[in-house]
Amino acid sequence: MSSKIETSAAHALPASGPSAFSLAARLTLWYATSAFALVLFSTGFLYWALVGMLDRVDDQFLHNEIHLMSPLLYDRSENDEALRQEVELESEVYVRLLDGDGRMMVEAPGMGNTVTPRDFPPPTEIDEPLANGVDFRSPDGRVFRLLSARIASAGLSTAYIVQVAVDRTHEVDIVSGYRTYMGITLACSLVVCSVVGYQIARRGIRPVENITSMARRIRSTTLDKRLRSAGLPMELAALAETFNEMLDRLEESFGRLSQFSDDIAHELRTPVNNLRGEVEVALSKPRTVDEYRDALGSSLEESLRLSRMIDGLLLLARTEPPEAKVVRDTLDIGRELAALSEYYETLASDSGIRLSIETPRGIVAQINRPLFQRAVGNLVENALAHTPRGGSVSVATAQQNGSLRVEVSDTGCGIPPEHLLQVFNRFHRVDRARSTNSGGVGLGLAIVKSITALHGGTVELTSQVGRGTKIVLTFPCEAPLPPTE
Amino acid sequence: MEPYVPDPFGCRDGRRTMKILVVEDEAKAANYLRKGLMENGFVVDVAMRGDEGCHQAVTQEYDLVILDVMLPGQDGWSVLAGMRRAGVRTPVIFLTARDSVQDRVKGLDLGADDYLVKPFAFSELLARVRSLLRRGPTRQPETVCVADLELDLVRYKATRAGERLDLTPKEFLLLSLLARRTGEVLTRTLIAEMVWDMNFDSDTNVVDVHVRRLRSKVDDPFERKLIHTVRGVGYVLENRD
Repeated sequence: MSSKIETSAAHALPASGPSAFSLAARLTLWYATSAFALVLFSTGFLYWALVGMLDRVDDQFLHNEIHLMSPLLYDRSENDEALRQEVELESEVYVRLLDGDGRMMVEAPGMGNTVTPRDFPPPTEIDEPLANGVDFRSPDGRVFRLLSARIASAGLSTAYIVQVAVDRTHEVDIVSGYRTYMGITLACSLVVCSVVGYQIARRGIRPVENITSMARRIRSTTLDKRLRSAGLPMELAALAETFNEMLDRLEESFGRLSQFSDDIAHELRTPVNNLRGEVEVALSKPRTVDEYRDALGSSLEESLRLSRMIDGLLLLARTEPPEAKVVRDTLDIGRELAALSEYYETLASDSGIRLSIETPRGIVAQINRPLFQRAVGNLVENALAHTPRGGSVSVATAQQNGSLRVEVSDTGCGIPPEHLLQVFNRFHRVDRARSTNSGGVGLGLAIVKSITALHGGTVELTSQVGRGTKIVLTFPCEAPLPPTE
Repeated sequence: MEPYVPDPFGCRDGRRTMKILVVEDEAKAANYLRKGLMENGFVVDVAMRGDEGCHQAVTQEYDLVILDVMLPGQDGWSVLAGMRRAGVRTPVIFLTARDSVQDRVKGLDLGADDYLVKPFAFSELLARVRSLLRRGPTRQPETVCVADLELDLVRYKATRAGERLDLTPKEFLLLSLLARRTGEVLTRTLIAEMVWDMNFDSDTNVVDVHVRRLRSKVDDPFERKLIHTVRGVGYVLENRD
């Protein structure tokens, strides 16, 4: 009697590792970092450009000064005074003239106290491109830019070294002031970026928080509530839609479940009521042994009906979950149907119904044996129960496209169209009074459907009132390959 | 006719009475199990708690233990485990309302000998008890006689009062099942399983129709009826007065 079915435990969705930061914190961090990086880069670039530009301007000035000096050296005797004037009168710049051996010839007044000849970098030749100047802080705290050049050419009796220094203290002060402002700006922008970034992040995830709080309010009792997707950003609207669809499915399953409990309660009520009434009446006054025996027998029958109903419900409970697994046997369908035929033949001939079974030899399918018997048996019983004397019930099988087709048709009363969709629901009966008396518990077709689905098959039903009903079960012949993990 | 003496083995060879321990916390169930088993010739002790049951099973000698799974004090699994740890090899039948493959496997792994799911037919329990207590394989008899019914199990021949009965193979199988277990009530489920290899409970009266057919050949032509209906349970073949 065991119908080997296993239900594997439901797998929880794999939880991702615990996240250290909230979404808001992450977004804030990203916003703040990128905005601050941008500010840092632009201020840094401007600083670099400014400093570079000042250096270039000063260097240009120094170059000019040196080039201005060199013609004066050619005719030194004539120009000596001019040279001295040029050196001494230059106001913005200190100029010093050394001879080739480094002996000082002329220098601007006061220059010796601030910039000594040794402070200068080694001179470059005048006819080569002049080097950039170097900065030098004099003992009195002023900053100079220094450049020296060696002038030695054929027209000169001796080589000269010209040392030029320009006072750039003012510029350095400006640059250092600029640096201070830059630091302040960066500090402020760091704060502003963080605050604004946090605000933006909060704004961005507020709809998510709304969805969360809406979803949090949904209980099993308020499954009819839905998330409002209007006004949500597109991405979140899709999320809300998905969520709502899940709720639809949940609501439907919950509805089915509660409808189902309701049905069970109703269906149990009848046999329990019979049982109770019968026993109560039997005990109400002394009776003969035969009467007691009769009451007990009847009670036993009701209990059996209850047992069968519970068995059926348990079978459904175990075959219906999508994760239910089934142990398959290799069935010789011809032999199975012949056995079923033998089993039902007597019942059929007693009811004056012709039961015929047609099956080609050698059809083999992977189906759980007790469940296959039960499915086909239920169909045959149903057909026999709804076919009048003189009618016929036939079972035919065929193998096509790798699947097994089992067709049970009768020439019975048929099923009215309005019941067609529901006959596979548990406890659904087309004719309540009739089936209850014949001992059915209204689970037969639900069980057939569930068994077929468990094997990955389908059920088709066609029926014409007064002409008959045909039910076709299609089972895949081969057990589907287990999913590769 | 000698008075009916309960015979739990289906053979009167004068062995001592068999003692069964029922561990079941539900008073009603314990009560009907005791009553039913005693009426079938067993001596029955009942323990209502798991720990008591385990103690009794270990300290006293029983031929069989019927063990509910859900018990106060100690559940059925641990009672069985405790028994096996103490070296008690008494056969155990589990009774449970929980019918899952895992439960079955768990019970059988722990060394249970059989497993019955509630609700079950009492006659089913009785049959299992008897088959567990029947030690060693029973030899299949070649012929079975009940009153004037004779079955030749080798040649598939049935005669009643010397007259040959014309039976189909399945009818013969059904009759021999009833005759070999004469006096034992066989449920419709068991009959369907043993004769037609149908492993499900049918909502219809298929088995009744088969038995009716059989009766028309075996009983109808004769004065003394052998096949009796036990209402709500099934059928029994016996020679009644």
